[in-house]
Amino acid sequence: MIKAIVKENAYNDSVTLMLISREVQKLEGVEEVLVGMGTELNLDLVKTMDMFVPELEGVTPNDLFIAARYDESKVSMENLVAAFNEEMNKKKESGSGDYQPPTLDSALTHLQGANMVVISIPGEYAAEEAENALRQGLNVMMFSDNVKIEDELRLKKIAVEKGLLMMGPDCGTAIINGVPLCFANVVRPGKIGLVGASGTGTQEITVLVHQQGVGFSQVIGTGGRDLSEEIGGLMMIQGIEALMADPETEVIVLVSKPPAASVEKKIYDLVKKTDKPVVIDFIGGDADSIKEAGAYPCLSLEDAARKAVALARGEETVDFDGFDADETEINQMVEEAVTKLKPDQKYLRGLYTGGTLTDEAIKYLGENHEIYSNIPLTPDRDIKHLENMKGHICLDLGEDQFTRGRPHPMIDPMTRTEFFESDVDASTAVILVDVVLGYGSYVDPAGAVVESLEKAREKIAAAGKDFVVVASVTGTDQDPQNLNESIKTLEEAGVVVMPSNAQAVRLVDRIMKAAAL
Amino acid sequence: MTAGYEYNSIWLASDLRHFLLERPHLDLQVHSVFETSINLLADGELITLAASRRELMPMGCIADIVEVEPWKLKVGDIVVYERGILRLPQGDSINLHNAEVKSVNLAETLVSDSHIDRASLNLIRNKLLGNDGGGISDLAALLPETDLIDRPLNVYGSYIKEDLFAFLDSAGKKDYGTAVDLAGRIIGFGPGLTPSCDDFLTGIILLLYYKDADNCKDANRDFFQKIVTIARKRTTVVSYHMLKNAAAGKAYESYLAVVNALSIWNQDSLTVLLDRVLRYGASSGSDFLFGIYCAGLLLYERENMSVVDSQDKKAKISEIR
Repeated sequence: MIKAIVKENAYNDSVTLMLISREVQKLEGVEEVLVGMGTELNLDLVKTMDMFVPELEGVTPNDLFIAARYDESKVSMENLVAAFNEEMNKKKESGSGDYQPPTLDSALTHLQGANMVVISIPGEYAAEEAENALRQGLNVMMFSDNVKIEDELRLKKIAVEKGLLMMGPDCGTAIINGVPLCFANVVRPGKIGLVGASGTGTQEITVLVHQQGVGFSQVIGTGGRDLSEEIGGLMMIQGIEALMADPETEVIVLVSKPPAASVEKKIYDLVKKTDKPVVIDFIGGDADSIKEAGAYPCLSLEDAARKAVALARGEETVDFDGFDADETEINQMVEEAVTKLKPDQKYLRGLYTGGTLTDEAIKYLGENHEIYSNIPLTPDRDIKHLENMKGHICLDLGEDQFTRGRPHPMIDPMTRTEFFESDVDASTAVILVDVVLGYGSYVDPAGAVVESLEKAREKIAAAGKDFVVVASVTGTDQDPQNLNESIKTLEEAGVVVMPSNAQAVRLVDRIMKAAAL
Repeated sequence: MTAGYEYNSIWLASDLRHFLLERPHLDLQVHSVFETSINLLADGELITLAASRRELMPMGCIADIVEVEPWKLKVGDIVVYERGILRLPQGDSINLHNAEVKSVNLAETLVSDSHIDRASLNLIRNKLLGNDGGGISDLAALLPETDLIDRPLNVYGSYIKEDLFAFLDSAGKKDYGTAVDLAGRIIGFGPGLTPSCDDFLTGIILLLYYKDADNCKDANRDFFQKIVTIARKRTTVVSYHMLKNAAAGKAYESYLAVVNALSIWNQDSLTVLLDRVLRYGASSGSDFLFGIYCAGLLLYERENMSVVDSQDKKAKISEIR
């Protein structure tokens, strides 16, 4: 049986109609339902499907029609119309819950009492929205990048004047009152407060603290330019002051690349004023200055996490630059790796998605090996000076040069997949990767690495070769991707998974030395 | 008429402001009523009054109301405009004086110009194929820019694919005469208040308007105008006005932002914008993006592909039909 009903000059939200027609189509006995406006071509389609009936004669483009083919022994047109109306009413009732405010003002009307705004819109529009939010007394986390530095300074000055946070621009990580924002991991609440100008550095510390059973009061991001001369560390200082005043925070952790000299002094002056222990990892920064400020310097992101945990537990801090595994086990891992390699496998390929993790790797490995990179230790180690890929490479694939016109590799593994194809070949000995989990990250970054690895292995299998692959996973057991599942995926593919980026880098250093790479 | 509540307009499209400035008094007839917007007709223009949860559209006005139901408007009612105030028949009014005026015109919101980026196109394609829009955007799986994907098409895609691909071939070759003829075979087709093919054409027009403006400005304008003329008789009133606006470089703010984002090399922003556009209507967002994707491919091929590559791709198109 084929029937149709026509509603003259009737308009309904097309989303509602489509959803309803899909629901109605599920009814037993219904073979096909077409809902549309009565345009000539839509009626042609109805005819093509042999569903044209006299009711559709004279329909105009501004009339709505519903045509159905069904088994009348199981269902009637009245049933269909009734189901249609019922679904329509359901949608109407549920519609109010699906409110996606298009403007800041309408969002604030909808969610009275909100005191924080996350801004993730093209950079050229972001400053205006942030200023609007700050003027209304709201804290801001600005995920957007490509914001002018003069706008950043102006916004941060407004925030300071009003006693608000202006996290960003280009702020990727924060955990405020236990809520992970943008790229952040699910960590337990606790006594440690962190202010970070470094996204994956912050993530690495938070997950390593979590894994040791301790948690965070607040994790505040500042954006990567905050500690520059121009911005003057306005948000780092605002964040430290907030944590100093916060009764829930007993230990403060600061993480960043080395600040501008004038900013560094301001931070140390402030740190001297608090009784709370402060752990500082200004990656590659001057340890003596940190000690003089009465704070705890660190050897790595992992060392920062360990020291923060010790202080939160009221224990003595100890420098850590070793491995969780004992020396015998590490030696065995190194030996197995060296045995695996053929004489013409000579090079390291570090393919990172996290900027601070790359930075940590290059600073450590660069002391003993010639590492070429897009973020080199010295200008002569810039990747552009490397000919024919004959050398050790460690890349931050999240840098602008690789993300122009594509998503950040933590969101979409496409960029790293392509580098696996182009940069990994029969001369590659060791592959070093990070796998960053958490909100905002790709749904299965470990699986993506394994997939790329398998393809790379296929290319060299005929020569009887294999790579040594070392990884660390920045994540927790409560992250959407799950830490343990990710580790299992990697290990089943023959990847050596180390407990931290620092340990992964140290292991690679040992392998490279033992294999004389 | 009793004195009712006075609502404020938050935003006013610059084209609507210009239109009203020239008309101190105007009667506007209600054409259609939705949960969050009302369309009015006056002097051959379609004007939209929308609630604050909507974004600004051409000839649009956003008011400080969450849903438009309290206005109690029905099709055929007359709304009176007088010197910056819209007076509704039940006594309420909307004050336009304090509204922020915004442009929804590509020529005025244009951020920068550059070449079409392949990765951006791939991102759009992946978004489309990961999104069950219900319209014609599944056809993206058949376009041989990257790997062909074997997946079943819905009834709309299956029906229209030959005419639509023929239209693209003609437009790609700048054979606008044939393309206009073929446009007549796709305008008004598909589900939705704005049928899928019209959303698709809106994407095509907007991107060509923007990216190809310097190279073939006059030819493009003529081509777009002919499409609009055909649309007048072959599709819905709302859809006709959407195409008319697109031919003048006007569209929803987020549609314009997508076109701009294709050139500012900020893929994170593009991802956010694509997600926002995909929420439009049942299929409107995805069909619009499908149009953007196809127009992007045409331009990309013109810029980058060798004759041999193009022939190879066209052979593939023939193969999949």
